Amino acid sequence: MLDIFSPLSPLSSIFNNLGTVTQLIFTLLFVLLFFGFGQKLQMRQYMWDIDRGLRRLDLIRTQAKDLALKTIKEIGKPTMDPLPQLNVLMESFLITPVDMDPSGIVSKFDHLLDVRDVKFKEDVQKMAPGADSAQVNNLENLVEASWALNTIFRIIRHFYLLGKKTNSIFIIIQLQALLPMIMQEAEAYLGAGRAFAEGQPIGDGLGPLVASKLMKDKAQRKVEKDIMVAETTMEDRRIIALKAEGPGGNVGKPGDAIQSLLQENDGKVSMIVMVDAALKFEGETTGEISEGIGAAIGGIGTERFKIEQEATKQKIPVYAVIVKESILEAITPMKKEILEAGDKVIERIKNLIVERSKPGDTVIIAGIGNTIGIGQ
Amino acid sequence: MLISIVLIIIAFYTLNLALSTFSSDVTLATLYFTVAVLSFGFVVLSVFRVRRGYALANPAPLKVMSIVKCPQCSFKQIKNFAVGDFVFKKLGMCTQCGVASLSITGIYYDGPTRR
Ligand SMILES: [Zn+2]
Repeated sequence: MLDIFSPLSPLSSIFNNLGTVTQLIFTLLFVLLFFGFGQKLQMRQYMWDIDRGLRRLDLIRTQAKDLALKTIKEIGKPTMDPLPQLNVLMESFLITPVDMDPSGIVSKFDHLLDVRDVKFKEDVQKMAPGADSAQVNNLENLVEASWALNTIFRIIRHFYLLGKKTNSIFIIIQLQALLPMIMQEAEAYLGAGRAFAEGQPIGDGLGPLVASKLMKDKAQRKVEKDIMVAETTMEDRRIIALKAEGPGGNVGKPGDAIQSLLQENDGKVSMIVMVDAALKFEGETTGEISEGIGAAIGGIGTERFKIEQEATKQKIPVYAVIVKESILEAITPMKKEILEAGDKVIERIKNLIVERSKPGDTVIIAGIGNTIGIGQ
Repeated sequence: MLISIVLIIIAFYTLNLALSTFSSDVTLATLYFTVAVLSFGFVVLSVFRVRRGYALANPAPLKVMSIVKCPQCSFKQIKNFAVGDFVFKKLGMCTQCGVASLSITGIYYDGPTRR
């Protein structure tokens, strides 16, 4: 070591003789480094983090798209290459209605979503002419998951590049703070894609699972868009159970279905019980059941609006039984705890019905969620 | 980049100081040496920053199981999920009692608990 640095030694001894001056310069350098460049250093580090996350997101979205393409080719037996069409779908968008004058916005939203749904399904059908209706639904879900991943990637990349270009530490900090949550969601979507490709039930299917247990081997009919309804009895009450039509990936429009069922049985329905999977807080146990009041249904709010409106008009109480799960568990294959919660939910519904209604009453039980992999 | 160059200069400079003061003042030399090591360390870390973590870890298929049950007898079987399986799919004849009532009663993901 000494040999290497010995030529420099005379120089250092000069500095050393200067004593306090050296120390002053040294301190100044230090201050400059940690106060002047401190933020820059921090920003650089954040940018590295985001860059790494972005690469991972890119990989995830490519994987999801490859999976979609592979599955379309396998199931759909397309006559021509579906890739150009898939690329068009990947970049598709939805323009939300004007909300400056919000009156009537729910029906506008509803209409837009209907149009989008129909178009998406038809596009997928065109790409995969060999798929049956359940498979088309699964493929549609798969393409949608892959669309979501593509969109997440595009948004994150946009803000990353914007932050880099404008050298704005605040954009970078926000992005870095949100990144772990975004990554978790992206990985959940990839898991969902795998489940959709195979047609496996996902955690969100808890509602349909419970409903299908009630509807099994009963006379069934189809109402509204993709909703199956069957009548049964439970504790001397007349039960109208409903769920989205399975086993293809589908959520249907339970809002419309409940609305028309309530109108059909005008004034005769004494309560509505909605069963759904709900996001748990960190630290809570998966598969835990809890009861509440209100329409338990996710989405943009159009379905919930319809249920609330009709229930309010007829003064019917709406009860919710939910099973807790994380976002990842909700859209990846159904875990055993969630499957087992299904039977417990039925017990809870029984208790609720006994407490809150009289024998002979009519009760609607709605299983809300994606019915992929669950028949009826 | 600029930061790295400045740090390298500081590192060499303090290392030099450390070596020259080693004989006279061990405490000061140790301090200089520490600064040199820290600066060097930072530069090395930032230049050879390990770019890892974006390779996906789990392309292995999930272990998903189907529960097959017969409501007439006690027959119950848990098999691997096959594409086309769905809950309440009718599977036909039960091998044990011969009644055509065999069906899938549940499908679940059987694997390590994630998160
Ligand atoms: Zn049997």
